[in-house]
Amino acid sequence: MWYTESGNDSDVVLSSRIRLARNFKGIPFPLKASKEQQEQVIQKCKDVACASKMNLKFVDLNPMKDYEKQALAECHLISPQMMDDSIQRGLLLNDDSSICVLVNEEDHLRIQCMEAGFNIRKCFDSANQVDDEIEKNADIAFDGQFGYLTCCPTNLGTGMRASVMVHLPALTMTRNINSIIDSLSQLGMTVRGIFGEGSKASGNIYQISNQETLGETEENIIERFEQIISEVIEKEREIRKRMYESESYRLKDKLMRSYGVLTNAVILSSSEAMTRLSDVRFAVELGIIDTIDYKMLSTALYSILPANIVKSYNTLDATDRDLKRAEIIKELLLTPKQ
Amino acid sequence: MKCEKCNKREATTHMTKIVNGYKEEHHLCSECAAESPEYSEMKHSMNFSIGDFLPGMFSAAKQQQTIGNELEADVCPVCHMPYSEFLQKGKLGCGECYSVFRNRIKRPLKQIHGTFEHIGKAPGRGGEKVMRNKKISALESELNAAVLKQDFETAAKLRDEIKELKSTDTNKEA
Repeated sequence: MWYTESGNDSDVVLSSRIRLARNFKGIPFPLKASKEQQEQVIQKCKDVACASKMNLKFVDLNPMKDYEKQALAECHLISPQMMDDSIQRGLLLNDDSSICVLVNEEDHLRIQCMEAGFNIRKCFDSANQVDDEIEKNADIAFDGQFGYLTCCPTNLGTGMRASVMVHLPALTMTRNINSIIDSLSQLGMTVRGIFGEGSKASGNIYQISNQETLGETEENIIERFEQIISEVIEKEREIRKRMYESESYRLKDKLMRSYGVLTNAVILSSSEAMTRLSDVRFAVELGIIDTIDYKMLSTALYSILPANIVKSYNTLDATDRDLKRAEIIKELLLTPKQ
Repeated sequence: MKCEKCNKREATTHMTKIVNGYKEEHHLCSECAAESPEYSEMKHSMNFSIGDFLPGMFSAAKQQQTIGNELEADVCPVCHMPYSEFLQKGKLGCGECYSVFRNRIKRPLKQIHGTFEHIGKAPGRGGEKVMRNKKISALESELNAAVLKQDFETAAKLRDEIKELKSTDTNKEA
């Protein structure tokens, strides 16, 4: 999987993502499309998958069970809206899921490209390549004035959103996070919790994305986004350093206690696991723990989420899940780093 | 008033909680408040997305702008979505809706994005030509302005640029 790779600035940025919203010309958007028209969109995507040099495979979402879809949502491959199966939906996926085209979400196509660490440009290059492959075989809804046409006018123009998932424990603990969020929104950025729209920040992980999609070129949007995120990374690093210098024993004690809990606990709820994992990640980031790497932490982060546990171990009971969660984390954290 | 949790610092955050009709009051200092789960929930419970503001913005625009509207249809001929439904939901039904409701949509788009002119990527098929024509007409108006200002050096540059753009157009078509 893409998120088990390591990337640039991994001490702060977990992952980067570019999303392009596209629609086929002449077919109503999914909400207004008839069953036949929805099928037509899916057929076009299957054709794209066949012709593609990027090894894309079509995955049908409708026959999937709810927890299987939720597991995909937990890994950020699909949006929670796609769980509703009143519309024919699917995905185009490549081998490591770094390319994921959502078919019949709010728009016909949401081309998503993800990378571990801070690498928006690589995401954009692959998204652009997928976009080119698709439009080689199909007419895309486009207007000379408004640009790429999308269901929601907030995505109009480039249809592009850039986003990063960042771990900001120092800014959060020192309560600087709210002023950062305020400044970011003044700069046209949206800050959300780890699971996107409407979700709370859990495990000190935030998702930052651009708001503007119309009136600027993709290149400019990306450049500005990179500058702003670099600032956030620097701020977080600076405060980490200061925290560690001024209260090194206390901080070390707090973080190592979480490590102690995770490597010994028998039952773990997902919210406790998220909080403790954030502490352990912070300890790794500060160099206090050197037996764990970021890949392992990212694997832990996704594999302990409820639907992913159900999917991998078929444990439907909540207590069984909490037992399993403790087991998974213990094993991951105690495996020696390669 | 002292904070009810630490009993040391001055209480600056006052919360009123009503559960099943019973009222509870809490007085906390800023530090204890930041640690309180209820407080952070209160602070983060405003889960608005931009989408939630759209219907309001678009219906306001309807009242303010009348010129040009009478020429536009009220229902999109392709997806049959009435303009009134768009006002309610803030979402469009198909690509054609943008052409049908163009004049009514421009103003709120400007409020959201600061503009309604796309300048980024265009699809290879058809889109590229659209964007080239758009650039040519923009350059032509710049050229006119330069001529009026008697800035002939700039005008000559613009003229060459337009010529080049037009020739790539005919080359491609040939």
